[in-house]
Amino acid sequence: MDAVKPLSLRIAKGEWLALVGHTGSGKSSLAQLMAGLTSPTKGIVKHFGRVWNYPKDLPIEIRRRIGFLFQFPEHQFFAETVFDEVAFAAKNFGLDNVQDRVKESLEVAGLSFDQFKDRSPFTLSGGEKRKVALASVMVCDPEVLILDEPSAGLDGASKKAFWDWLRDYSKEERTVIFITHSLEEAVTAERVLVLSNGTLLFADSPREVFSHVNTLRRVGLEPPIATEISYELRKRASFPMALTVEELVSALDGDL
Amino acid sequence: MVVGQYIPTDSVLHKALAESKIVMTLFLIIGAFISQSFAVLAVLFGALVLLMLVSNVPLRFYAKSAKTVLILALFTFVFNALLTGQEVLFRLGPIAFKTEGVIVGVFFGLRLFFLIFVSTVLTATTSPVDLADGLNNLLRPLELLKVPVEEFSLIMTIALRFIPVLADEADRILKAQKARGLNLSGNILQRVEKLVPIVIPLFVSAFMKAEDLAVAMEVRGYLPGVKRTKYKVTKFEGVDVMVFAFTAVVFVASYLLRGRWVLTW
Repeated sequence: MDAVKPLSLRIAKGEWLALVGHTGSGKSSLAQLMAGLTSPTKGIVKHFGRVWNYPKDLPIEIRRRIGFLFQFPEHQFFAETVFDEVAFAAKNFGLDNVQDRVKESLEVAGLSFDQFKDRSPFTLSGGEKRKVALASVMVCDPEVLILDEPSAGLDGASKKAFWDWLRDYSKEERTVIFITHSLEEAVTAERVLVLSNGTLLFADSPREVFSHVNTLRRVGLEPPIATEISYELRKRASFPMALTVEELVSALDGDL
Repeated sequence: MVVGQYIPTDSVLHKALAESKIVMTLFLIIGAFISQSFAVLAVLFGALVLLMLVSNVPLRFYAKSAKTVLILALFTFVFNALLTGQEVLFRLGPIAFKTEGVIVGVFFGLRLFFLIFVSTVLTATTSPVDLADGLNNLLRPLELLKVPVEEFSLIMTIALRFIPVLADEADRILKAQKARGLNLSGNILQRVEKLVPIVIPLFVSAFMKAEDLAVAMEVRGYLPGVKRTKYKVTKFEGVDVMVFAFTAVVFVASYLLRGRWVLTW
């Protein structure tokens, strides 16, 4: 059984990409291929324009340039203090100014350096843990950030804050690829990749992808509520496709 | 991790009771230990090959486990070959292989191979739950001595059940720390130190899982020391007679041949 079936894909620098699919669709495997954490049994994966022989001569520099946040990243904590946890990657990659980097990445993730640096990462709240985990990846200033279900297990408010933060972060020429099984979260992406049973079904703008409501439902994905409502309305009269609640409201306003 | 993995197929051996297979494995292992005879080893290997074929488990599964065992067996062989005996058989540079050592090494290497493979056949053809259940039934007499057999077998079941879960978890943690630049090369001491970022999260997750499991079991009414009935009632059947007959034949043959082609040094 292949986790990911043959597919061809090119990701441009600075893209903001969502990778969606039901559980077991192969999205995590694809993401790990993108990150160079596994090698394909067939075919090739190029990172930054060239093929690296995994894992033998995948240079540590490539690892540094691609940040990977696993699902529930706080499950990988091991250090005694938040500082050590965040500094781990920076030290491994032999970066200089570790202290400044840790400070900056903690602040970027939204945690006060002085307040948190000496605390044990195990005693933090769920949201704080996630921020420390993010900081521990960002500390190396990766050009590509791959996140596996980054908002899983966060409460509503933390979730929203997280996505706002991520969108800001991605504006600086960074490539961000995030995995999610919620199409609601994928709406904001520039491009949405839909995987089902290892096959790439769509790789297009959210508007294009979400217009295939029936196909999405068939592969176990729930379109955003606004899209579903506008989809049902379109059956009766001409009605524009809405991706978000705002779009739906303004479309309805136009009708009234 | 191949040793200990269950490979479900519909072979005769899979249908036999776990109890029968445990007894068989036990006797075959005893057979391997009653003497240091190459003849016995040959008989046992014959039996092993037969079991492997009957088990209907793809031979490439056994081949895969052979790779890991081979290192262990080679280690045993080399140690014996270098350290046992006087007479030099051949030299590899400054290293002298002794005649007796080579023979002893071959014997112990093969015996190790046999032990591991015969256990692999057992675990490959018996699901972990059945295995623990079977062991539980075999140890039942110990309850008279106030040994908590039921609890013991539950611990076994859980331990076996969680091997693949923890293996997956370890793989994920390893990848996550690699993504953060962990490089596992270096000498043994350095490597041990580098395992800390893998071992600690693994322990944390194991404890969390244990806690969740304990609560889940209590919620569903688990109480230690209570008499339990079985969902699946097992019966001693024709296959089990076959397993016992096979065991008896191999064991008796091993016993009778114990004096032939004995290892001497």
